[in-house]
Amino acid sequence: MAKNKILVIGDVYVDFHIDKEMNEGYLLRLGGVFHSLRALSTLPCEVEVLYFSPNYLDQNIIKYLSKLNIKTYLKLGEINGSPNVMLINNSKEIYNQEYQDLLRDERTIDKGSCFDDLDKFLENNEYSNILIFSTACNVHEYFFTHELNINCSIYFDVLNLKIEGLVNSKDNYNYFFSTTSTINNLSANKLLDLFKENEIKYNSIIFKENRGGTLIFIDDSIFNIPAYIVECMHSIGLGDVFDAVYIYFNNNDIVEAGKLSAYITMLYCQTYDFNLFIANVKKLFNDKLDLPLGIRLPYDLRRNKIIYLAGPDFALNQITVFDEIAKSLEFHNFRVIRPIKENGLISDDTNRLEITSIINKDMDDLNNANIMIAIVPYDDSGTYAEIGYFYAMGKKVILFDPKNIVKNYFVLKCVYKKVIDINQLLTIIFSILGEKK
Amino acid sequence: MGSSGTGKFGNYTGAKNEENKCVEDFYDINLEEVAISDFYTSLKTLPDVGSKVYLFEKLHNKRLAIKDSKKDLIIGYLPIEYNYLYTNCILNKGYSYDGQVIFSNDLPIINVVVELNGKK
Repeated sequence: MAKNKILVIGDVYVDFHIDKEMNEGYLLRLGGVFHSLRALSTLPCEVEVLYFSPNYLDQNIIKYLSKLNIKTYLKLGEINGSPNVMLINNSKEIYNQEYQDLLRDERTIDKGSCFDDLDKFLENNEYSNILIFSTACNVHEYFFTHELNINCSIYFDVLNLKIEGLVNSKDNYNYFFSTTSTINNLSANKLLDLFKENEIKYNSIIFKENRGGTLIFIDDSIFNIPAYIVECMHSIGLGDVFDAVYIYFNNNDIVEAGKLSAYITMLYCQTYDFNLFIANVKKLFNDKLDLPLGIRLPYDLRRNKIIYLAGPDFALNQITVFDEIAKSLEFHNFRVIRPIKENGLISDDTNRLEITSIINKDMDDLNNANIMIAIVPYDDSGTYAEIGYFYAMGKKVILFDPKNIVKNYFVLKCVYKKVIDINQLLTIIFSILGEKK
Repeated sequence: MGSSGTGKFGNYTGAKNEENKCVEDFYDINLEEVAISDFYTSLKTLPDVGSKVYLFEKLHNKRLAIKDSKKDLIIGYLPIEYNYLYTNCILNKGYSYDGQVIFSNDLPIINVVVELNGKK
């Protein structure tokens, strides 16, 4: 078995970022397997790739593989009917990234002749690790249905889990999942239950929980890996980067491999500038830098974290910033309290009994909440009163104030941190609510 | 590899946007673990308001530490959300950070608040 000779198998996409937030206009770059390949190109290993793509991308694929110093590659098949372009409307994964895979349903695959000889290819090239992404061609089925005479670690990155597709799994196979790759956002424990109920064999399951860290299951052992929190520039391909780096480092020390993977993934999310990414990874190893403290906030446990949204949350018939923030937090599985929506709005017509009831419910919610997000589209005395009350309880208030409305210094003194967009907000929320690790 | 515009693949830098995060002023940073940090544990007191401080350029116990400029003792640590300063700004771009204590109190709980300015 060759040391650190890694094969990556998957599709090549064009990632087209159409977010309004891009500073230099729209951005497009090669995606799909290229995220993993970029990460591996920064590490001292030999990388080879088998891929599927539409033919109009062939020249650019070869050009950029060369730039990554990847010399051995093979196109396994041609994609027709679809340009393999992924429109991305939410690059920072504030909520669902809203990938739009253009003409996905028109896609057909011409499997090249190489696919027929895949087992000979694999046997003739001694790899230490093989990383297989979910592809349009369902390459993973090949590994499930063929007896392969190869001695290496095999990892599958599973998207859109269909449990019946894994029933022929083997007990030396390893699986990457994420909270967004499973149907109905399964938690790690529910995923494990599914595996057990369906008697699906595996060697390890690596369950990535985005900004909250990662869980690794091997035999009866569980390993918790932190995430390194920064305000990301983007969240595209991060799971793929994690996969690749983890495979590279995973020899004996699983936790160390996980931490390095998480850290290098953080470096990837901080920039679209590939040269800067390379420099950062090199610095990590050349300068033998210590890893900083990270946080761990499992997907399951976020439901126990109660976030109180304070502010004038009563616009009707329009999507408001409250809706956007609630949507984002709920996507990440936090419990969100919107007191006006849940307890009622006090107006001039509200009778006294009802006023008392609403206020008591609001107080209960404030007492039970772990953190407050105060949203201030304009000066609102009720919101300021809630800020003061929450601060006096010794709890943290995050002020969401992109328009710089709040000027009162006493109010500002009660605020732990002011943020101006949802991405910043998420960064702070995870930093505060996560367990330092 | 990325691109500005949609004409072709290229390399997106976005350098201007990333630079801004290093030079913004940092107000009202509540330091963490003040009660168990060197300054308080060895001197049994907190730094005065107005004391000069600086951000230690290396990680200490995996964290970014704020030191008192005169006594060179760790007063406390920056909250985790400031970790980006380490990779992005200190290591990559050579920024350093100094500032002062703007609030310091030990009742009802030990609390030190600083402000910092970044410079190259």
